Amino acid sequence: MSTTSISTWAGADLSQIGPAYPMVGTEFALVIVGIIFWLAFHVVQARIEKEEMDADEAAAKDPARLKRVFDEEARE
Amino acid sequence: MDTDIGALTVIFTEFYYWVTVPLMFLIHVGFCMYEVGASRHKNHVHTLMKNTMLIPLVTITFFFFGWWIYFALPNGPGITGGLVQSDHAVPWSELMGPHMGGSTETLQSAQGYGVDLGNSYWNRINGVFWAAFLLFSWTAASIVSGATIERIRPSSFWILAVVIGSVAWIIDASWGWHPDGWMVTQLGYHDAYASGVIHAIAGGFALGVVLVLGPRIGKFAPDGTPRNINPHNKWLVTIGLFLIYCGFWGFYVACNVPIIDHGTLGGAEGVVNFTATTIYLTPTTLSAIVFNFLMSLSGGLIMGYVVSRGDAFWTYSAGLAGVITASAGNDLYHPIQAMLIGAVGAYCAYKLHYWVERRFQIDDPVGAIAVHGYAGFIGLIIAGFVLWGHPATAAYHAEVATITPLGQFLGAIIMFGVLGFLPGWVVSKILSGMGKLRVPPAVELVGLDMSGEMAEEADAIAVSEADIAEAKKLGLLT
Repeated sequence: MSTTSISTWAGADLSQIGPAYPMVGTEFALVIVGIIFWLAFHVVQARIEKEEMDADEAAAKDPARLKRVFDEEARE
Repeated sequence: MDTDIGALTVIFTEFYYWVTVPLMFLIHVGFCMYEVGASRHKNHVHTLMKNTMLIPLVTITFFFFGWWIYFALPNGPGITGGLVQSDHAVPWSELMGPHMGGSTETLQSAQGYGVDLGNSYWNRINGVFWAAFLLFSWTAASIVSGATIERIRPSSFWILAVVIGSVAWIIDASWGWHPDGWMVTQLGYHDAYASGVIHAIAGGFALGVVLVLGPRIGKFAPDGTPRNINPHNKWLVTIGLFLIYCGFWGFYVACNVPIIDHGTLGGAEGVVNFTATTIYLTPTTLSAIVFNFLMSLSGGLIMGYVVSRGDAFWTYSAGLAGVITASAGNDLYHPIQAMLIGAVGAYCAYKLHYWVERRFQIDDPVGAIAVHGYAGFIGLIIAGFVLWGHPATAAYHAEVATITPLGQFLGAIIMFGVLGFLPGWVVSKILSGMGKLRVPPAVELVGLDMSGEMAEEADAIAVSEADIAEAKKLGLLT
């Protein structure tokens, strides 16, 4: 039993063997899944970024923190 | 693969391109170090992550559509022909994965560029050739990354990275960096080591983005005078640039085809002439590019040192500008020509950077637009004059297209302006219109890493409080 089209290399003629990955024939479906995975990243990341920016903006309203940032910047 | 020489040629080519990939990885390491060194402490982590995450995003999109674009669009389409069928480069192709090279039912009728070479060629070359091109994609996106530090939203940058890395640059490669590309066959465009196809386009794209993005807060005085926001860590910047030099060795050799019989390309009939070629399948040697890489680097470094009066950041950047300027013709120049061309490019990049900064209030924190964009553009023009009349097309083309100043000038406009500046500006305008391009001013002031730093502070306080409680329990503290 093999998930690929190859069950043994013994006596194999490579010139007669094509794809070696599992589930040959599902390539198109894999591309669709891959594209969804890619686009989902952008959606999820945009949400993470919004939360982060909100927290950063809230921090900027603290004058002591802001002063500390500027002091450090002046020393750099 | 059924003869010894055939097998050796294919497997050597496979290994050759593979070697270029880890070498070019150094370019990205260098860009990350460079950007972090150039940014202020309050933005370090975001600067690093912005550049790092372009790696997976450009990689997967280059798999989905970038590779296909290269093989499908050399005719425009609509300029010298239609779309070219490219069965080995579509993401659902069986050759886009582990494959032993045998014929398969679906690929027996495969069509497209290089299909005559067969599955036993493409099953070994497809992945490594794809990866070599992909590393160019990362470089293009990374160049844009440097120009936008400390104020762009990462979410927007990553969209822009996909546009330049997996769409714009690979269209230009298909047009002007392909043996049958219409710019090569019609304009005689010659850009062997990517002055235009990587550097001018990325610089133009960065300019389009930065124009919409605007300068960092504090960069310009109310009267428009620029203020210096110096690199936070000049050692990191310079080591980063050194690493980019190292990675450029991989970049240069990846621009060549390592071994091919010129007789099969339309050379002298019945004569076997194994040679390396450029991407255009015109003969060259590794020695040629080693001479010229080092001489143009030296011309750039010497000029950079003089013009910047020994400024480390600009001396290193000028070395890069020297290589980039000479790259279009570094397969053919005499080494001393390469040195002088590198020096001219470095001088122009330095002067133009400051002139544009003062005149238009353009904030390019790492000088990427100048070093890549202006130097690449100028390099194309210079190649048009110095290589005037030299054949741009491979031997098998019935009509010879020759290199001319006009062809190179038009090529430079297409690279920098049409495929670089324009898409960068348009996509940035859309993102800006949606309020998504730039971080809010308060976040820019307090730093993009602030929420992360606050979380780390809270962690440190919690651990410290736990330590104090334990010390009290042990009677060490009262």
